[in-house]
Amino acid sequence: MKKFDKPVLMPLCALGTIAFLYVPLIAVASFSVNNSRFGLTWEGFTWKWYAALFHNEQILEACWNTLFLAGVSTAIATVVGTALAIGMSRFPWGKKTASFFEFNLYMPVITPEIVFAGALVIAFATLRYFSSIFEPGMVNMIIGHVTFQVAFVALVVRSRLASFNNEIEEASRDLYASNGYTLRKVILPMLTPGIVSGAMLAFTLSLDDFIISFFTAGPTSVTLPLYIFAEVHRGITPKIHALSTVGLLLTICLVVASEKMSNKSKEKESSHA
Amino acid sequence: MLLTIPALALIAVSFATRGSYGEIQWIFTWENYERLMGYGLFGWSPDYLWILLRSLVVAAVTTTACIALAFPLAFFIARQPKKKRYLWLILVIIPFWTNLVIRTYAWQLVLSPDLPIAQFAARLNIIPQGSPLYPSSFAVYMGMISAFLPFVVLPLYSSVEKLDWTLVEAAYDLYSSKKRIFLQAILPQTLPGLSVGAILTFVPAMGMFLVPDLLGGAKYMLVGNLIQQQFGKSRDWPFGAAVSLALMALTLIGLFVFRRKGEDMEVV
Amino acid sequence: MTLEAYAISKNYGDVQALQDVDIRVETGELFTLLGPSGCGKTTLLRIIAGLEKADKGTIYLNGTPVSNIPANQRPVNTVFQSYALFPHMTNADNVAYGLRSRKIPETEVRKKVEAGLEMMELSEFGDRFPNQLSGGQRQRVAMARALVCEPEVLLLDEPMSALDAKLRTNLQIQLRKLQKKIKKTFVLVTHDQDEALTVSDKIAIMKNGKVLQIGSPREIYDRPNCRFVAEFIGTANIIDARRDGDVMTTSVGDMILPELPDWKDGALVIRPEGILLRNDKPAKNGVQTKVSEVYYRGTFLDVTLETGNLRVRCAPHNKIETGDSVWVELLEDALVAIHD
Repeated sequence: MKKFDKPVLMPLCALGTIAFLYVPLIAVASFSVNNSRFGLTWEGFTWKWYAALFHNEQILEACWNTLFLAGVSTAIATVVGTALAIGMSRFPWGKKTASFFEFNLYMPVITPEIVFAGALVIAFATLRYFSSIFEPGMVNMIIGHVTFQVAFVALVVRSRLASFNNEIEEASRDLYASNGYTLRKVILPMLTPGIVSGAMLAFTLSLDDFIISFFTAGPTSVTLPLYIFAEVHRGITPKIHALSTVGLLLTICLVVASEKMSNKSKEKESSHA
Repeated sequence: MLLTIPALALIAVSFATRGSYGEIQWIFTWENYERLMGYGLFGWSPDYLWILLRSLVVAAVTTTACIALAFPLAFFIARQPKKKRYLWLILVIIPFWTNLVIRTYAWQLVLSPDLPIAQFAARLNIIPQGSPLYPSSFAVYMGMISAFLPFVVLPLYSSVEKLDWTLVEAAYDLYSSKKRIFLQAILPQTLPGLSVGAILTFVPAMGMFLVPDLLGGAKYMLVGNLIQQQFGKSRDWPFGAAVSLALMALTLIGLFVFRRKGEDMEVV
Repeated sequence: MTLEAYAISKNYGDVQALQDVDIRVETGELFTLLGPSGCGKTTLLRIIAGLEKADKGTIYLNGTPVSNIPANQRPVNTVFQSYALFPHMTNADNVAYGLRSRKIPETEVRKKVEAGLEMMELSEFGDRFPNQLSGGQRQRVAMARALVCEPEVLLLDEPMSALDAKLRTNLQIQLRKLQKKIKKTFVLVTHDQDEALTVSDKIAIMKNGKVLQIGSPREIYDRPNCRFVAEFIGTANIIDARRDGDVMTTSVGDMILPELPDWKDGALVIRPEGILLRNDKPAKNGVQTKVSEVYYRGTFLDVTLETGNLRVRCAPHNKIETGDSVWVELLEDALVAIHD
């Protein structure tokens, strides 16, 4: 590979940029083990803020809410998104219907999240006339999350679907398979990597989400990001640092694990091609 | 379906009237848009228009700054030996997946009065001794840029990785200056990644609510905060819906301008 | 089993992919559809497979119309151009796919798969995945997968196009041997004339959705019925000609044919091997001319003559150089009259 012209300046810029991304995170992590209740002077090392996390009912409940919300919404969004992707590309829709679907898929990508959140608030308020399920709370949050997750799952699955050619399905048909058999034995197994990465994306999006949850949550369905946000407004405490650091560490584990996985599957696909 | 119904509801509500207890009254009115344009009970004031304009500027500056910072980083990573590249990429992906609430309040921490950055600024007499560097526009920009940087770096990197270096060599061979090499041999090849990154930054930056809320304070309100206020505290949904639609329109215009520019660039 | 396509027409929008195509393939025959890309050969194959529906016309298997039987019920199997092996299954599972989807008992499936892999010399690769094989091996897996279903007709869509030239020649011979051994009806689609000539019992030359000529490789090569066929296969000298009484007047001189054509104005086709170099004036169809170009091609000399730019092939030991004055004879039996 060709060397770029400025061998000193560029790495410097790059490292500076990385540092810029990490300074705040490192600050949070380091103050999470600071033995001082208030202020930011260093007063020795401690684990006590972490220990406190596990005794805080609110935090444990927020953890559970976050995971429950992410889990349920991901499961729904994965099924619906996959069905949508397969339906869109394999069913002979009219041109207009097809472009309508297309437009809907890209909507969440080009809509600022907050607009979407506002729209959900109104939609749920309207639905409340018909049923009390739509009070702010977990159900609304799940629906809200699923709504934006579906589009991302469908996009990921669709790109995977587009990557294998029609002949594969024709081969299945040629070999006496019914449509259902083809779906079960050929299309779904071949889509699996796409479905898995779509689900992972949906899961992380849900964990990461703040705005949609903020607009649709009720008093009993506080998630971790909402909890941290509320606490920060009351003033930063070491407890929050500890909680954030745990979140950060979990993120690191997830990222490293998923990178390893995708590397492996890439190697598998490329080594014999 | 799930997406269209809320969108239609939004449009409908934006023309409705707010009742005295924050409920929606279905009386058609342009009032919400008039208010947005500055015509209120007390005559004309440009407050809301300023907020819209400020959001546009913040989003545009953030996008530009992210691109400027992303280029060296993307090239740096692409130039690393293959094994190490993943490590560097992971370094970019980790903040990308770290919750934004955490990342934003972390800046509060970094800019707090006891830490070197604020103390340095105090020494320079930019801020009074013992006060934090937030809320301020500086803090908002820090928060915004660090929030969106990975969104530009990752797609840009995937373009840089695929870059055809023989074109660069051909440009060298044909006596190009360094500037021309960049503009004509490198930039056009990275445009796809660049435009994905720019869209991924510009769109959410337009509606950003967290960063200005935590780092900007009341004086530095952006559209996101305005919308949140209407749906939250003020319970003025019709106005909130109108602002949302205005934001949507601005975003679409922004994207459109950007696409036009992008096309021009490709032609050059 | 005989295969018959009767009056098949197919349009894609304004494009006529097939226009009233008739072919008839006898049992145990290897029938090749040959033509340039876009001539409709693959479309015809897909219609036979049932992957596509003809606008008009009928496909008959053993005299029974099958046009309304969907692909997954037709006793016809296809080897796809991309092989279309299922990447998430082992080669053995790939081969077993057609049997399993027909719910054949597993013990029988095993036996047949084993036999199929063995026939294709793939026994040791059953547990591997398709992406662990070379192109030629993958092609054989695709063949095995289609053949274990014991189709009445096997369709092959450009099965060699992804392979390199040497491997291709080798596989062509194997394909021919295999087909002779199992005595099934094969329909092959290709744009490679060498492949068609090597493996086929019969060739149909197609162009723009129409069949121009059907015949054995020898007939197609020696007796092209039109300009396109003559030029598409091998090298052809095409000489404009007019019938004057019982001689043909041409730009290279008067020619005598064993049988006169029924037209007045047309052309004569002669392959380079049909023109012989002579030391003296030959008794019939002789032309005196000069050599304008000579290329040494290893196994033969490629000679171009000044008169009519005629191309001649002769043995490499001939000492011929540019500018030499020569006599040539256009062999009476090698001249073909065409009219189009």
